[in-house]
Amino acid sequence: MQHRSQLIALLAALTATLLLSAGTRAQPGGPVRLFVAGKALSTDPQPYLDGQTLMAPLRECAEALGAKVSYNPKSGRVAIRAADGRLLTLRVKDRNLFMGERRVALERPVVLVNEKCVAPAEAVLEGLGARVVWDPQGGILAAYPRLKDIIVRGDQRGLSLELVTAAPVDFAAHTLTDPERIYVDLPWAAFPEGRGEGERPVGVAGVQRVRWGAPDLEAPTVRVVLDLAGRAGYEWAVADDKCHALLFLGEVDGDEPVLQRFRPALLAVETQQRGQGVVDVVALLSAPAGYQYDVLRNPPRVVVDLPEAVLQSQQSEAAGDGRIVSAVRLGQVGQEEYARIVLDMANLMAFTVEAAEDPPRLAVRFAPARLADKVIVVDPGHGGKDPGARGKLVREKDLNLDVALRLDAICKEHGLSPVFTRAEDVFLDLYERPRLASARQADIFLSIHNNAWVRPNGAQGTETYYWRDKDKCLATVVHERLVAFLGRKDNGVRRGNFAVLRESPMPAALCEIAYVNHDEDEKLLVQPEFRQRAAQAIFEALRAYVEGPGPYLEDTVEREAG
Amino acid sequence: MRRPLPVALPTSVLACLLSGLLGCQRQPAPAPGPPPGPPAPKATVVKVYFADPQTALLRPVERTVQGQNLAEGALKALLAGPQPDEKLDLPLPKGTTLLGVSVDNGLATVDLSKEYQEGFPQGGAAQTLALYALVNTLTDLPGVRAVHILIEGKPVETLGELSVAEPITRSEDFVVR
Repeated sequence: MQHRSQLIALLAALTATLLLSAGTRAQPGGPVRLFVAGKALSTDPQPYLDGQTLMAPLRECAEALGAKVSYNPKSGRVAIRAADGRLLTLRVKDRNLFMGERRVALERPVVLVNEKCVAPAEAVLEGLGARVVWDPQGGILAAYPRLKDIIVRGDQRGLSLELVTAAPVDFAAHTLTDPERIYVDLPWAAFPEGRGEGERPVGVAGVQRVRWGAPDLEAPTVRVVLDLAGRAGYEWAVADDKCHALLFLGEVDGDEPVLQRFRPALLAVETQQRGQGVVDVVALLSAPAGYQYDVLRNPPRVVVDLPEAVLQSQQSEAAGDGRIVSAVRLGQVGQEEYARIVLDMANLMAFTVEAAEDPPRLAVRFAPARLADKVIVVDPGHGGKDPGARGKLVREKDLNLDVALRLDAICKEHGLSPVFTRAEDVFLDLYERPRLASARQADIFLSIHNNAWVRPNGAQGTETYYWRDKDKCLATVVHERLVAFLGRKDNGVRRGNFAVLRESPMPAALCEIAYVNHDEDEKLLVQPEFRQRAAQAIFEALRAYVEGPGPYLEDTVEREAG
Repeated sequence: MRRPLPVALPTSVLACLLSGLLGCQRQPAPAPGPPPGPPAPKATVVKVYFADPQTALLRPVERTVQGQNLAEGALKALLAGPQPDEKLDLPLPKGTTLLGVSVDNGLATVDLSKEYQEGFPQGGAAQTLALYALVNTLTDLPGVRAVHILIEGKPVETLGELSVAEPITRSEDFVVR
């Protein structure tokens, strides 16, 4: 609600400003205008609507937020370096915006108008750290640089206040008397997603509290106020990039303890056992926070990082459920001292991470299910005219298919029938394989391969590939079983940009059982028993990934019977 | 249509890369110096990544590169292959030549001859290392964050089983620890 009222206030202020200055109101279908940090942006070509999407020249939009743009006409690639250092890339005629590892689907592709790149303005401005408000009635798209962090450091000797924004802002510091206050205004700036006004006591060095809010000014403004016990002098500095401002009261330097951060805080973590064997590890937050996760081996653990959040809890560990999660640890990492949650796994299995609001929290959920209820797509690599790697005696395509057929036989014994991309020696295009998995609404995609080194008798062993975070748990579970069952050299779980992994929407992994062009591996690969063990390992992995530690339904029955 | 990219970078861009700055505003004005003559060749130590059969990973080795174009120098050192005593393998296909490399705002665009695509190896390890030897060598240089590969001047969708339509960022998964 607060969010909405703020939005209305922003729009009202903006529209009022425009009405005063221009005295006109854009008609639907009429011209559209762009405002960045309160300034009208005049661009060539002018912004226009393509359906509901406002298209505007990339360069002018990005530079207005302090970013640097380069365009390579040969490849059609655009690279944008945001004011805070992040790299964004786009491509002419393409609908993707890449931000590091993250991909945002654009509503319209990037196009060339008069040899200049024109792109959906909202996605680009948001990607550069602005809050974007679109008023279709007025035909106005307005972007406000977001405040990223308020950092209060200090002790009894003094206090420093550091403000960080995603894009340049005209910071201004002022004093007020009766009662004594110092405030910093960030005109045309916006709060971070999901944050609004707030306050915290400071209670040191004559500073009572720090508070932040949106004063009722003509220009939407973020204001940060220090309430003082008495009159105090201060020093004030704004960095060249206009994204950092520092205010000092008394003698304080950067080594002092952080008293308060505007960033969301991780408050507590607890493990909750729900019905049907479901286990949730729930992290309570002071405000919504972005997250990323990883799966690590030796020992197996799930790591959840909250790069925006700080740890504000005396708690350093929590109990697990014992069967899936053995223990949970909390900590801070990196220069930014962000919060990290580590789940030590008793039995690694599929999980989801979900964010929820009210109260803001994050849940890592382990929900054992029946393998029979899942659609598994098994993809024997290569085939037909594409033999894959070659050994002295074997071809990769034949090995891949043989292991897949053995896996099928094991599945059938358990009453399961996975879907196969190919069950005979036929050629399949790389993209047909994930397309089939999408069409069948598969839950899991697993590609079976065998490996080769750049020359015979180079490397040997087993490795498994993943692409996205959500693939890594599956890849890790499959890899651990393969290494345990086959006893070949453990070459690890690796992130590889395989087309079949990238194009599969569901969790996907690609295993490389052994090297066909290494004599020791090949000697084993020609043995049916070895290939049977590989198929058994994959089956056990799929079952462990989906069902968790043991058949949970039987356990439930046993408990109920007992 | 063979359209190699220019190999030489403008010196101003290079100065920015060397200093690690992305903006050029802080570049000092050239100081008055001795009368112009041929500039002394500048030697820089770079890391290039070769395939290590013991670990099935990439192992960085140092090479000294002459001249100002570090990206070109490093890639040429990579393509020259490992020394016999290093016990490493060149993961790039034989006959691959560098047609051009340019660095623009953190994105390196590498143009390679058709041999790179035609001789792209089989096997997940050989394929990923053929790609990441390039990517990790370039992203070790100051100011390079991602790599985009062209074959004979043209973007390609896939190389072997790998998708290379988008810029590729560095991966430490493929480096010996």
